[in-house]
Amino acid sequence: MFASRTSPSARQHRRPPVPPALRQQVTPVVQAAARTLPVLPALAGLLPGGALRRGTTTVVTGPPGSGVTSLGVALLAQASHDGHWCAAIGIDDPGVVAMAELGLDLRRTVFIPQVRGDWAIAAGELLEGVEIILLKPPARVPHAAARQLAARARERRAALVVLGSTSSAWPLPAELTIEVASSCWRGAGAGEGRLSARTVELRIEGRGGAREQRSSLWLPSARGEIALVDERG
Amino acid sequence: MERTLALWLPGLAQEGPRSAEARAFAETLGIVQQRCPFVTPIRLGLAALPARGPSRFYGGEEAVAALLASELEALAAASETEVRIGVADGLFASVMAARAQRIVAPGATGAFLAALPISVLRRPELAAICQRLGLPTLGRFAALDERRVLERFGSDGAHCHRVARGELGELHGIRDPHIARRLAALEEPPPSAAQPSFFGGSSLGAERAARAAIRAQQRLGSERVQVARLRAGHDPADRAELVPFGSEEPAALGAQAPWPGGLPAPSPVTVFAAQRPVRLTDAAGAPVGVSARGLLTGVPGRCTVEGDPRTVSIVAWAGPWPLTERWWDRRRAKARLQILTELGTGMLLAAERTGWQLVGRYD
Repeated sequence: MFASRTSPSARQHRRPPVPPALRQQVTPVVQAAARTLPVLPALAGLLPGGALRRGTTTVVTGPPGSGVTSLGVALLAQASHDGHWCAAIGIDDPGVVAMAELGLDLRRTVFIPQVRGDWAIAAGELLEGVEIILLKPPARVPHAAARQLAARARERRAALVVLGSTSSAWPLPAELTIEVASSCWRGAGAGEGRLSARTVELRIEGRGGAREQRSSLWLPSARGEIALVDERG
Repeated sequence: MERTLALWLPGLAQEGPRSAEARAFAETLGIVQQRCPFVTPIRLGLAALPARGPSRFYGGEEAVAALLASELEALAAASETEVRIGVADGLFASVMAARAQRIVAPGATGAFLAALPISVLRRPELAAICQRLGLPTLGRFAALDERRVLERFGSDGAHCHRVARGELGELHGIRDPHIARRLAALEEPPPSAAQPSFFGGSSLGAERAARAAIRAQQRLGSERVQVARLRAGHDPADRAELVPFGSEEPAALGAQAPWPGGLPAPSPVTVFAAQRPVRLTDAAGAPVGVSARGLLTGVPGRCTVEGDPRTVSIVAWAGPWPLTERWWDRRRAKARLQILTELGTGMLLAAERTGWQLVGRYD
């Protein structure tokens, strides 16, 4: 509207920036009016706005065994820790110890494994009470079912994180797609050591291929953290 | 188009506090359902049902209308609302008929709709334009050329045009998409002390989540909706269990100290409830096992998981680590082994008396 020129006096009243260390320490208050759900600091850099937008669908995809499930769980971790309720639907044989290691708060997670054809019913019911759903559809997803679920999530202002694969690709364009392009476990050798840390190469895309971004992530690091891979490796 | 009977209870159309209108409407549907199947809520205070079947059963559409009116008399009086019933071809026309408390004869729907004012379409802008153009009724609007309507009024206008002409039975916007859920929500029991405060306290979020979980259990079966409990154990499969939601108080899920002898983190994010046999061989195809001294009897080179046709090469492995607990358990595994395949997949195997089993996968 009007070009604004800050006068010298106005500049004096501008707030100094919050030191990053302080920002990390302050736990955000859960507000129902908030448009987003928080994610772990390392994942914030991957998402537009640094958080999961309520009402949106994020698809995590990649070859089997490459870390897709772990990444999906990691996307829920901060929110569950901060008091938001979650559900994990269609994740058969969930390794809940690993999920707790990834930061998921098991006190606020409902599991519906082995869901088969009832996945849409399960997700629909849980959308009435949780704010974030991790969904692994067991088979081909009909377009109408996906559309209904996405609409319901939008209505309920919940976030949907869908684990995709070649046999059950999400048939709708998602607001965000995170693809695990490759993964690399370290620590095991010819009998010595143990699987201790994994890096994953991620390709992140907005809707319709917008804003393609690449990132490398420890999932987890040797210290058990989710962290961006340092330039220095 | 189908003969449709619409019921309109104008006094229930607006929801007041404490959901009295929604409850009365739900009761209305219950009463109607006892006489006529397939009654559907359209929005609060408005319901519709196919008229042909009941009409044949009760001897005519007038008879059905009269019957329903008398069945609903008591409820209507208690809720201080009228009950208006109408029958016509298609949903939109039957709703209009209900407003007028008329039974519009089959085929006469066109003439009936034509006389209605343009305002019944609930499109104020379109109605204003039509008034200016001297088209105060649906009939005059319906008489316009359809291409002109599309140009002038856009696709929603074209839709209204088809409804006005009697070509389409349902007007967009007539339905409340949430009505079914709103009515279903009335059925749920209110949160009470008897509900397990499973999520540690009775915060609003916890109550909502618990209600949703319980409803999911009612639809899917209570054993299918679960929560996790961590407990002491060495194997990742032993260190946690999933129990049905609400079955019992969870053990304290605070930070867990590492158990001595336990496999250190990271744990596999997939832990198979039903173990799968794995064929582990060296590069030449000879089986590799665990000796009595806990050493591998060969160099792992390839593995095949039962149910998966592929055989993958092993590029790295770690272990075997002997299991020392449950020595009295004849089924116990002797040792655990981690393998890394050429595809970059990490897997956790257990050597049992019957051979190798896939315990978990580092997905």
